[in-house]
Amino acid sequence: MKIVVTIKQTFTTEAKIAVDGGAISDKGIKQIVNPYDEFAVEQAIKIKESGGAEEVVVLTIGPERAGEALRQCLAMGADAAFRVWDDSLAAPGAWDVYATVLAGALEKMKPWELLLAGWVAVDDNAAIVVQRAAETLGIPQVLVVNKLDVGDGKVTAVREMDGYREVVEAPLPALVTADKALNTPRYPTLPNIMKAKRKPLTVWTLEDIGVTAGSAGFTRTGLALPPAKTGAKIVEGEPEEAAVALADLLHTEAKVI
Amino acid sequence: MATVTTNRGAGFLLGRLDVEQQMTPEKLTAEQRMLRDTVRKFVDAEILPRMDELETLDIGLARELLQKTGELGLCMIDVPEEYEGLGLDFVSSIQGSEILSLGGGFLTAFSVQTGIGLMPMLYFGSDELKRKFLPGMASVELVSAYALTEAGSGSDALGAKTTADLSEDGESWVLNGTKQFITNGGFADVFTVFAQVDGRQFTAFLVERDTPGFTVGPEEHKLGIKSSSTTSLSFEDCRIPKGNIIGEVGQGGKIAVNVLNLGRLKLGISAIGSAKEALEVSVRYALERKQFGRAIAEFGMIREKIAEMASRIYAGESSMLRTSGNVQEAMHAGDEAGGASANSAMRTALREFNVECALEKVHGSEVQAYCVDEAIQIHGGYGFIEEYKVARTYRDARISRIYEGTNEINRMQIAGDVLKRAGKGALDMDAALSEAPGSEISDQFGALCDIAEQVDRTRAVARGIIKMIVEQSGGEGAKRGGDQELLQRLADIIIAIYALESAMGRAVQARRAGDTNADEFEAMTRVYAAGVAPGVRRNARETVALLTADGADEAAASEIAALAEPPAVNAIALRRVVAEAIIEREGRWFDC
Ligand SMILES: Cc1cc2nc3c(=O)[nH]c(=O)nc-3n(C[C@H](O)[C@H](O)[C@H](O)COP(=O)(O)OP(=O)(O)OC[C@H]3O[C@@H](n4cnc5c(N)ncnc54)[C@H](O)[C@@H]3O)c2cc1C
Repeated sequence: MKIVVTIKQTFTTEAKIAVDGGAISDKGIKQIVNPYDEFAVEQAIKIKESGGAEEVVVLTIGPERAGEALRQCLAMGADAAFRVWDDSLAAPGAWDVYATVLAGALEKMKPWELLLAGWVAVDDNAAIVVQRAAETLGIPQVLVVNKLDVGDGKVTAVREMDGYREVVEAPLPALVTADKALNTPRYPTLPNIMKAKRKPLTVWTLEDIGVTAGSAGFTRTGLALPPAKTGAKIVEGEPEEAAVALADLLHTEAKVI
Repeated sequence: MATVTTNRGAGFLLGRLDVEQQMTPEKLTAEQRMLRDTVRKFVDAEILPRMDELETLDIGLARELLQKTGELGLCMIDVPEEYEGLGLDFVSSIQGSEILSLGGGFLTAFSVQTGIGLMPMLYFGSDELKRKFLPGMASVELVSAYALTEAGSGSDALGAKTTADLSEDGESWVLNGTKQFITNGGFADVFTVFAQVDGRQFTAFLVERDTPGFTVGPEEHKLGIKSSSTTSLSFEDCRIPKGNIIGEVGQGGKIAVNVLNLGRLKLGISAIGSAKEALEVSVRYALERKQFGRAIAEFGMIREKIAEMASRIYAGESSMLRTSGNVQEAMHAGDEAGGASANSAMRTALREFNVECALEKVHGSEVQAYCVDEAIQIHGGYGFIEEYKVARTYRDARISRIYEGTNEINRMQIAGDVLKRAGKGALDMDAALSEAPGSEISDQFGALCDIAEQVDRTRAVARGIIKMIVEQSGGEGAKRGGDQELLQRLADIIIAIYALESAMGRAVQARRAGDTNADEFEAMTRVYAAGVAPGVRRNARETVALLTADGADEAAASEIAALAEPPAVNAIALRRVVAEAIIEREGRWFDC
């Protein structure tokens, strides 16, 4: 069995984000593998280690620097990596274009049985690109998964819902997206970092995967930081008095009751 | 003045830096950056959550974690592949030393394992010994220790009294004596032990823990690095196989000194790592802590501390990487030599940069001392409370100025070695003072050419002083070399030259490469320059005052004093710029 993991290079969530000229400034920003994608990579490697798969391949759409994110996945234990890029993809927010490109690359990479990804990228929180690609490919998808078993041509996945859990089965090939309880991603050891240098990393243009860039179905018109939080108020005093004061504030100041 | 190749030992006293050749953190490879991430994740996941247990000196845990660094491959970096290591470059090997500094005393254990515990065997051991022990040391199945110090001989390390005599049957060495303050003593498996053969031939040996006649003393109670093990060792008719000699009889001094060179450089790097941590923690605290209705990060005095910490760290880090790059290049040349001569070339490489290594140890540990001290100050009373991280960082930092040669001993090495080289003509000081500051300088250093001029002038100050001392000593540099106060001042001037020049070179490189941090690097270079200038002035004036009182040429002396005058700069404004930038990034370092 072959597993494909799609990953995205993003900035760390610790980073202080600044918007500069309609884009996130990369000044002082460290680029990492999207943390949720790391869970997906870890899961794929685990499946392979337990004999459930022969090959783990990682795929990303991104400029040259995204190669470093792929190298990290290779150092974790993936066998090969693919990066698709075209300068036209630098336009921000073109999620539908990205989904088309991803579907094209996944088509070219066939045959594979399992597609894994993080359930969301921590930068734009969109949770949309790989899901749309799966839709294009016409395969089932099980999203935000906390536990995963693969075997007998199907996946059995556990989803943690509000107050109950859902067990979902889907036939392969399928897309499963990872949540953080799925596993603890390993960090690459130095010998594996060195080995990763010699693993294949292929770069594809849009032509290579037979996709024409096309225009986005929607475009992003602006990017701004959320407004700074304004002064929260802490009501102090004995519970009885505080409750009265709070009710009063909600009524007169916040005007919600 | 043409740029001369200055990447040889003490070469920075001969001419200007070649900026392109300078190794900087920005030049780290993708693999080296990934390695940093791995170590950082290891520290966060495995070490910091267990710091309390480690601090009670849980030896089992310390051993377990040390072995995990082995699993990550961190102790294999310097070991060649034929001995089951990775045989990677030196710059890779310093990454662990820097980041594990976050683990306080654990770093000490690691540093011995990968540094002074490993290197005698690595660079001087016989093939047979290496086959037997190196793979285990690289994987950390074998924990190592380095036993040089004795109760009666600390700084005077070669005055050790432990003896080693060949047994009557000629088959073993018999060791007698006691070692003091040996890191990893409580749980190491293999010890490099220095002893006198025939009472005067200093020699290194490898002793295994379970050898009869060898006992390990109780743990010391320490001021800091409490999570590291420090014990005495005693040898009573302790017999080890004849083949367990490292190097040759009488080579011990050379081994001890060469190995310490790299140990000192790595210590400097670790010290900078800990200083970065102190800065980040302090900035975060200053942003949160409110007094008089404002975050204390808004107050000028706090901001000035932050600017000063950052600039010293920046200069320290820049010089560490520069030295590491030069050492690596020299080692690489040693490797190229191949075979048996590879080892001797490697040893030459270690010796070549002894001035720089000593300098990094002194500078790094003093930047660390400054930063951990100001970190406590920024925390106010909370800094004095153990619950806050900085208290431990402060206690852990104190040892850096003591071990691997006290800073006094290292200052003597810096100035003493330079004088020795100059006395022998190996460093030609004749052009001293005749250097023409300013020529072609703008092409080389762009916006920082005024700083390059300051470096040039400070270099001329050092060269003038060196020349005077050598002349007064009758060409040898030895007589006045006994004047420790002079050596100390000369060492401090030399450190200022090297660190400032490295800071400047990195900023110039960043500017040329269009690095987004170039503004900050330039600003920090300027702050560092303003910070060292008054010290250079005082040291130069006090030195020439003594030398002229003893008959040195007065005209030359006043020329030196004039060159040592600090340039007029608006230091407060410069520090404000740096403080703003560092606070803006919440104290996070410019990690690549
Ligand atoms: C926690 C810890 C771990 C250690 N780990 C190890 C280890 O693993 N292996 C090992 O071999 N050693 C180790 N040491 C020993 C350490 O290297 C020595 O303590 C250090 O070299 C200083 O020696 P000393 O303590 O005898 O001080 P001394 O040499 O007595 O020095 C006392 C003071 O005198 C000054 N001084 C000494 N000589 C001169 C001089 N000629 N000119 C001017 N000033 C001078 C010193 O700078 C210092 O300020 C460790 C020490 C500690 C505390």
